[in-house]
Amino acid sequence: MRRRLITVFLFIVAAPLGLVTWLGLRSLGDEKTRENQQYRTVIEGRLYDVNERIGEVFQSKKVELLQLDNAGLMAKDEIRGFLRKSRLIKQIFVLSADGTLSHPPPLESASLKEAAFFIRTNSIGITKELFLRSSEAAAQTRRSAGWHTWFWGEGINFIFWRHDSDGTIVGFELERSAMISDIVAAMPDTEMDGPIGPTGRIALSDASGNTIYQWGDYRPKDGESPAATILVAPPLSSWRLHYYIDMDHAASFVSEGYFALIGAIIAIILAIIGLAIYFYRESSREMREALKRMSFVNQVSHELKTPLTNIRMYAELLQKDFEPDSTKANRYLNILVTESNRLSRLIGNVLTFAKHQKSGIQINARPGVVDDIIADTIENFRPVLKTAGVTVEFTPGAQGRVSLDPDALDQILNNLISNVEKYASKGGWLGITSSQRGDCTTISISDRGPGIPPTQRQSIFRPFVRLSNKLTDGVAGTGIGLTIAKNLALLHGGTLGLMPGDDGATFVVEIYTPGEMKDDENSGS
Amino acid sequence: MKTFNMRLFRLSFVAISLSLGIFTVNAQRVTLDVTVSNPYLLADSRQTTFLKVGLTGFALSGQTDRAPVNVAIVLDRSGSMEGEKIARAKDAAILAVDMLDSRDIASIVTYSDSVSVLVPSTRIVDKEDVRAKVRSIYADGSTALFAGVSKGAHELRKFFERQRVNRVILLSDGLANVGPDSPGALGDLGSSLRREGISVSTIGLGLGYNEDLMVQLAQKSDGNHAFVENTRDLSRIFRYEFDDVLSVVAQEIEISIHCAPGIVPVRVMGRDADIADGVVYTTINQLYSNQQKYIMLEVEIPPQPEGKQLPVATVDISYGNMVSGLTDSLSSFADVQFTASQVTAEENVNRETMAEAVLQLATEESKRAVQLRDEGKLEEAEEVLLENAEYLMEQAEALQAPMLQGYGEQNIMDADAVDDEDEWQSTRKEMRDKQHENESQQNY
Repeated sequence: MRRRLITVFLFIVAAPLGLVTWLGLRSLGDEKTRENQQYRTVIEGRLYDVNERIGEVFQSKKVELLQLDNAGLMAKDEIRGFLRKSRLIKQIFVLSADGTLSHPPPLESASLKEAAFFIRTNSIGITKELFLRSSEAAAQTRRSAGWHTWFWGEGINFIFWRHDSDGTIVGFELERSAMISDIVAAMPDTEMDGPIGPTGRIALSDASGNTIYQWGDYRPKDGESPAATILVAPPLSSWRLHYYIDMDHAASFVSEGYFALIGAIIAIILAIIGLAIYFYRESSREMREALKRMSFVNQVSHELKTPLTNIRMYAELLQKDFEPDSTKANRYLNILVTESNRLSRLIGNVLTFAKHQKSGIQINARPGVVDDIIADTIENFRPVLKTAGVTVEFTPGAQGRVSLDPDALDQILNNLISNVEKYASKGGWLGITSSQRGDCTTISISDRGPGIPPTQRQSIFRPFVRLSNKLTDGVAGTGIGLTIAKNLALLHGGTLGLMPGDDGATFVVEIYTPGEMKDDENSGS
Repeated sequence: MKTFNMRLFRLSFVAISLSLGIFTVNAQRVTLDVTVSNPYLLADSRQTTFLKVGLTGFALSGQTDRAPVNVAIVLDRSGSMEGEKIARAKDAAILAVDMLDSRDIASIVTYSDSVSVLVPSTRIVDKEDVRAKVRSIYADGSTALFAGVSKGAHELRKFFERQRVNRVILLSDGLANVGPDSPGALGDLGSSLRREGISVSTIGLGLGYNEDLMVQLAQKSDGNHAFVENTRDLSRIFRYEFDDVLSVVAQEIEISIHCAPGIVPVRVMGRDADIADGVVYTTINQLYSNQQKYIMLEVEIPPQPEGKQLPVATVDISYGNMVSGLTDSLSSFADVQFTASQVTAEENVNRETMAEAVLQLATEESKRAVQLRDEGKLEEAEEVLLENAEYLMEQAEALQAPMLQGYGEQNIMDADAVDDEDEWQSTRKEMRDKQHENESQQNY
């Protein structure tokens, strides 16, 4: 009973708890995704800031190169002299308005550096078309400029070109190392600022994925993929910016909404658990009170037992003193004895049931003869049965002295015979047969009463179950007699069953009675 | 002692100059002197000779005279520096800072995975503050060498002045593994910095660094290079480096050599130069007090009749005088005479110039040997070095140049190490160090 209650409670608690947890985890997951999205937006924003700084480096070079006065850059010696002092420009070339290359001079008269320039740019071919084809519209406006990149040697190479108003194109090949150095110099130091703090790392990588520069204290593990990657703005669009985050420490960035959600889920879970505890306490209090009531009945029964026994004893003593004729006093005395016997049984049942509920009944086996006990019980009932007009037919078959609990057997029989007296007295007949086979004693008690409907054959053994009103009308009873009888039979290593039959009811008691002195195979007949 | 030697050296130098009719200048200017290794050439044959443009820095009268400096000390604090290396490096950096005073600007940059500007470019006023920051350095992570140099140079630019000695001093003990890491890329960076007026001195510590990269960076930027095998020598090397930095007398020296008609400039030995239309341009970033640097140009001279005097080249230089703060210009020239007599030609060989030319030739051979060894051609490398040693010994005797003798002996030892994998590691570094020293006339 109690276990079932706990199971029900666990179910009542566990089901909503599971549901809330599942829903909570799901929305936490959603929240996490949302946070990640936010996170991404923030760190991508930072990468775009960095990107802008790289863009500024190129922009400043562009401004510087646009401002160069080309009046001083037309003659060969001027250009060479200029290049000797320029840290940024590796080579200058000039394409005249008619498309011919006016600087550097042809290979025969070129310096070593100029010859190297021809080798470097061999793959792209320095012509006006190279620079103007992608911006023909701009070419119409007579002045345009732009970046051109190509791969040669150890990586990317840059040319900034401008289309001057006189139709010439002046191109500046930049010193790659100096450009990279300037980009690195424009980037932050090791320390990172901002909301992500020291738990991140930004890395700038070139077209082949080699890291050019990185900062931030976090060291990504080998093969760790970045939390965000963006392309660097042209002309460095083959390069990438990566953001690595130490996810273990990233939680500090999680927003308040996240905590609010976790809080709400925890609150709901606590509420459910609280409610469950409340109901559990309530129900167990009821249970305790029921037990208290039961114990009260038990105590009252106990208190009743002693005076009743006294009444019975003195009534029986008195009965012996009278003549067995039918004087009025004798008749009244018989009723007194019979009724006090019935009351004794009733109290006995209540006490046994209470004991069974509380701590279980112990079987106290001692030597005895089954048939003697049956005979005694019948003898006790004789006056009652006689009054009810029931004739008893006892067929003994268990004379063996065996080990058994006579009190338990007596109680079983009491309950069964009193049932016959109460419900089946109209049949006017009670048949009792006993038999023994091995260590097993079988007693069957039959009547010719109304019988028990098949649908109720199981339930009659449950406590407080009584058959329909039709049957029990006007009959006193507690509804625990059969329960006690069955429990005792079970405790005695046997069983109590109802035999199927059309006429009346036949209860069969089987109990375990190990042989005590003789006739082990005393078979019943 | 050193000063005395230098004085003696300069006296003899002046004497030679005078005998060749070379224009000399007064004390507070750089001395320019143009010589040829063979002032007398055999008539009627096409031959090559060496033209040397020698520049000697004047003596500083004292510490108060020296030019203010702007240095960026760039320290490797990668994981491999852990322990004694980083401790010594910190000591050396503190010692370097102690050599500076309130005229000077310094910055300290450290690099590992990334770069930290530990001490941003600042006038050296509170040395204790700088020392404390240096002491806080710890070693950890990888080697972002390119970025370290870039950030160091960036710090220099904040207070960049022509009147200052602008220098990055780079210390590394390992292979660059973050960012551009090839000798070519670092060489290009060096040459770009040189055009800007910044030199990078590179100090390689231990046996783990890439000497090609470090030498290229130093050479292209016209800085010094040192191989410090033993960590204990680090402070000494820093002291040498700062002695150099603190004794710069001329900066951004531009040299143009105009070859006379018919004279073909073949190559400049050991230095970068532009050669076009018979004109050779090159620069030297810094010239130190009492130090001579030179440009060795190989020229091809057409056949001439006996008795003819032929101008070889005129040389123009201009430089920033770090004491006067002015830009000085100097010019000089060199001639050759033609004779039919082999004896006359040989007797008149300019031994000093010839010895220096031999040193440059031998240095080229030494580089070739390293390359052969890198290609796995051990025997050829050894042979080249032994032949080189023999050549140096011969010339040492003929030219009475003990300097060549020393280098010859060095070549024999180098040849010995070619076979030995363990010894080769440090020998290769020593060789690259020595080659750079020869080519750039490094003081230490």
